[in-house]
Amino acid sequence: MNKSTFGGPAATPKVIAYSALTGIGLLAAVVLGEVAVVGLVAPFAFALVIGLVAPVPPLPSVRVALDEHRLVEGGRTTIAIELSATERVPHCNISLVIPAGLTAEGSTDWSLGLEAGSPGLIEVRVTADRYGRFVIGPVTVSVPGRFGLLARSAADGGALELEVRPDPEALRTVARAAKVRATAGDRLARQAGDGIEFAEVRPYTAGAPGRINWRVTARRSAPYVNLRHPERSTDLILLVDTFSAGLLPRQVRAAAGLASAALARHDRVGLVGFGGVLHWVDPGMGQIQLERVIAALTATEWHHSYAWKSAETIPSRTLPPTGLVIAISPLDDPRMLTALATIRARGVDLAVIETIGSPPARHVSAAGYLALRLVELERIETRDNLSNRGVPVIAWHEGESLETALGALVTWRRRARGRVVR
Amino acid sequence: MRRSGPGPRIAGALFSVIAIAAVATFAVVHSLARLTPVVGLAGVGGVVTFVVALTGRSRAKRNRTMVTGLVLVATAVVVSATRDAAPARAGFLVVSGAVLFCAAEVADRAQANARKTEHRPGVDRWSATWVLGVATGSAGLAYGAISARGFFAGGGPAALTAGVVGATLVAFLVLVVLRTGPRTGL
Repeated sequence: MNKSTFGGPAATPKVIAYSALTGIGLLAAVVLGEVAVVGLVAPFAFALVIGLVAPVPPLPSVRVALDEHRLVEGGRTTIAIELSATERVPHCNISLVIPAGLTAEGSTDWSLGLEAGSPGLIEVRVTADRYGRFVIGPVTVSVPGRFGLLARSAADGGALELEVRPDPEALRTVARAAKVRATAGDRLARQAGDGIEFAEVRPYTAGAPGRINWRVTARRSAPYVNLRHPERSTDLILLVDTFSAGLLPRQVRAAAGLASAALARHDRVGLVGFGGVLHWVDPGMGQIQLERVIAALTATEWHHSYAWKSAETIPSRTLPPTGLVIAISPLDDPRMLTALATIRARGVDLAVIETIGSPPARHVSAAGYLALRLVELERIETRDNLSNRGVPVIAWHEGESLETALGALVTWRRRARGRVVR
Repeated sequence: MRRSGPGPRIAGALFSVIAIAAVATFAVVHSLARLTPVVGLAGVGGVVTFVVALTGRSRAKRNRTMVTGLVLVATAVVVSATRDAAPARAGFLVVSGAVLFCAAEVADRAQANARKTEHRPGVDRWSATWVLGVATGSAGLAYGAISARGFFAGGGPAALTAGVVGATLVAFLVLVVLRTGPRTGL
């Protein structure tokens, strides 16, 4: 909520226009020696005098309030502008600036009159089209005087912040790292130990985990134990490419969905935004970590930069060696490709979700078609290069469910287990 | 509550252009044959400039262009009336000034109406009474002053009568304006 300040009346451009007309008329009368010319500009001179002498009503006080300060993409909130005046204000113009990314339902410019002591209320509903942090306002209030020659105006607001969080992709499948951590989680470890899922029956050895399997023990006349797969957590690091702006909202939604799904399975999740500006969230788990990751994703924006960025700038603690790094990228920036190659060369388990935009328009020229083919060939080469390094690249097309793409990734990793991963 | 559509804006702009064009046309018709090309050029240039001003987006630029258009039309009026007798010339210039002022005010208000502005009930946007009052009152006062000057300079009883009528008209209009007060828009 914010309150306005009062401002004194100021001359509008109309004052200059009327003054110029009056001045030219009087000058012409003197030069031509013809007093009748004054009659031509007399109305402008009169209006100028009346407009400058007549008092301008004071500015009303303005209060701006927001119904909800936090939304999810597609959500709606109401901005309330309350105006109150100590004197009658016959004409008052109010203008509200809505930042790009929010859409107002209805007008954002109003013209109204206020009675003394009778507040006016304007409500405007806004819809969040995309994620981000937005500053609502300012609200500009202007009270014109007689003939619009003088006006009081003040800008208010600019302090109301609205946080629109990305709408996460709904996911059931989340690719998991090959190695598990020592802490408990929802992922079945490969090694046998204590757990719920049955693994195998082994001869008993002193100090080994497991419960005695009495049937096998009786049959073999030697103690045997049941071993089970322990449930452990894994590390998932989301590497979001912020070099290109076009597909960033999709990438952010995908990262939000992956983070939510992984944290729901008690995995540790970290985030690296790699682009014009590098930002990261160290791996962690739990609801607080989800808040951190979503907040970081909400602040993720495209920053244009020509500076060369490499994987060396990414803090090493954000890329744990036992974790799975899922890069979400359109694979169109050489800096990102180099960084992916470097990360893989360090032995990090890496997978790429390649975001692919809408197909080009059907009616392209022959040269345009050739150019599209060349771009496509470059993409194929990029995918091949990464695949040869043991990095699966899964294409995620516009309109396709991320669940489908992740399913392909899980299948690829299952088939490639023990061959190229590691 | 209503939203300003293109209707009032177009109507206002059309009215102002017609008024300006009428003044320019009258100046052209009124001018002597020898001066017609000059008057016509200034008049047509003024109207065209005025129309261009109505399409401007920036308010400051719009005002500058509008003033240029008005000055051109006023030039046409002054040039066309150079050979008239003094009372007729004064009357012609005074009436033209009043019409140009009304046209300028209407055009300015029409352009000030933002396209998506929502007008709430109870707003006194502008008063036609004030505009007409100022236009007519100032015209009467100016005509009266010019006539009185003519009388004292030897213009005779006709000039004095015209001056008295003009001053009475001004007093009457001022009284009307003050009693009526501002009214809600056009």
